[in-house]
Amino acid sequence: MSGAEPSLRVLVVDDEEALGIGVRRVLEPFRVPTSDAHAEAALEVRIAKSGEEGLAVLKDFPADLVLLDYKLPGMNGIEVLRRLPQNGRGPMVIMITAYASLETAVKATKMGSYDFLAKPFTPEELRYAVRKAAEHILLRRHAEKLASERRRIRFEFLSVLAHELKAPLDAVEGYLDLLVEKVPGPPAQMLGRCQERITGMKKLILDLLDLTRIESGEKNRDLRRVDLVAVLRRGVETQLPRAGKKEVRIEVDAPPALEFLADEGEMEIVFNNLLSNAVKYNRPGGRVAVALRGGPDGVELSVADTGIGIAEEDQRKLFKEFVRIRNSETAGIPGSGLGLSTVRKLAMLYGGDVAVESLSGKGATFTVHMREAVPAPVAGAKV
Amino acid sequence: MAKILIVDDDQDVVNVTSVFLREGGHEVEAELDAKKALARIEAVRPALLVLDVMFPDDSTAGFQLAREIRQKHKDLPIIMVTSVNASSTVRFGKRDIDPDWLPISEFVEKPIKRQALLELVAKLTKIKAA
Repeated sequence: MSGAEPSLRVLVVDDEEALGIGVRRVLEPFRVPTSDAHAEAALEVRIAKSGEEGLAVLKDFPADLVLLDYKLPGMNGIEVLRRLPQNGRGPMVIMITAYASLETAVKATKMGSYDFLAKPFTPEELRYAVRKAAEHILLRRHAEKLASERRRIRFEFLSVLAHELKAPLDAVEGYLDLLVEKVPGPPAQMLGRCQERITGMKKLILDLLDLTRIESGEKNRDLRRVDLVAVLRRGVETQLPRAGKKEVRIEVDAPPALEFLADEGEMEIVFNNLLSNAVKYNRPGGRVAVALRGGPDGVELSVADTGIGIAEEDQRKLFKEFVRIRNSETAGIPGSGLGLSTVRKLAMLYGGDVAVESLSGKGATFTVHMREAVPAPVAGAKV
Repeated sequence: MAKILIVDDDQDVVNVTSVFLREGGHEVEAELDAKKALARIEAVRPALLVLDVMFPDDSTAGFQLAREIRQKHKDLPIIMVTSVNASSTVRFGKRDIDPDWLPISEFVEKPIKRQALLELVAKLTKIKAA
């Protein structure tokens, strides 16, 4: 850590004005040691006089630590706590209780409060509690930074590797394209198989890369208004040759146009994965019914096939990485086992998810719901 | 029929692309070294350039080269061939073509497909002749 001194944002929510001012006076000159021996973290303090005001302040002042009074006019401390983001995404909370009742402390801790301070407290007690919490926050920050760095390095390594793996395949594919036209008879069929295997391998490399890219938060998301119907039509066109070979009919039910604020590349990955699966796992002469709808609650794409279906016990595993359902019916079908886990990760980037409904042997329906683009989980440094 | 110069460090890509173009009736020259490309253009005087993006030691040498070429050869059509889109955080497309930043005529994704390449060559050399 170098350059600017790190700082922690502290919000005090207490209806007793004197207490808020007192806390600020104690904390502003206070410095918390960090994992870097040469740096100390300073504290920036804001004050709110009610739970409602506190929640409003947090919108512009994303605090790391909230000192929250239990007894407040209007919304009480527990109710404020309930409204804060959970799972380590929101600020850390120290509950201030006028009567250091064990009951309140336990209740607050259950709700995700980190610690509690009993009123009245001395400046020394305040500093001790804040220092303990701040050290915890700084450690968490440091760990997040390391994890994000690790994801970035993994992605960079994989993207170089992917390019190096793909280039020779492209060259071989080029030669095969030339040869396949010039060679007659059974050898041409063998060359055709070579082409198919190479295409499969390239798809695997790209799937792996897509997945790593999404995980690393490295993907430069280019959000603009995308016509999903156009993306869908292009996706269907891509599948037509393969569908034709198996005599699978693709039916599309969509409005003339449907605009959605999204990254076009991500939409292509979602649509193409589901369409390609619906054709790939269909039976000869089968049907794929695609429906795309938009509403106030976002957009929904459902892709139903008349293929081999997925047994109930397999459905839960389906969206995990490298999971391929292996049975006699999927044995001859190429796939990386990455497509659906990527679709799920992407759907989540749009505040949605993907679900499957299926009976073994009776086809499957995949439904993706997307609300709106949400920030990528990690914002790593740009390449 | 046009005289075409391919600038790509991958001998195999050059071989395959050359066959596509020759069978399409064009005359083909190739340069594997990006640093020698400018001199080679002076020597060959091609009607069209097929240019790769990534070269050893410089993953965007093709972009820089396109800008240098454009300063001297205002009307030389350049088809940029790339596989960077598949393996990078940045995706390039036709909308990134820009007279200052990326002064090329068309983008083609690797692996190059015969039909698509020949159609582009026909389109770009015709515009120039007109």
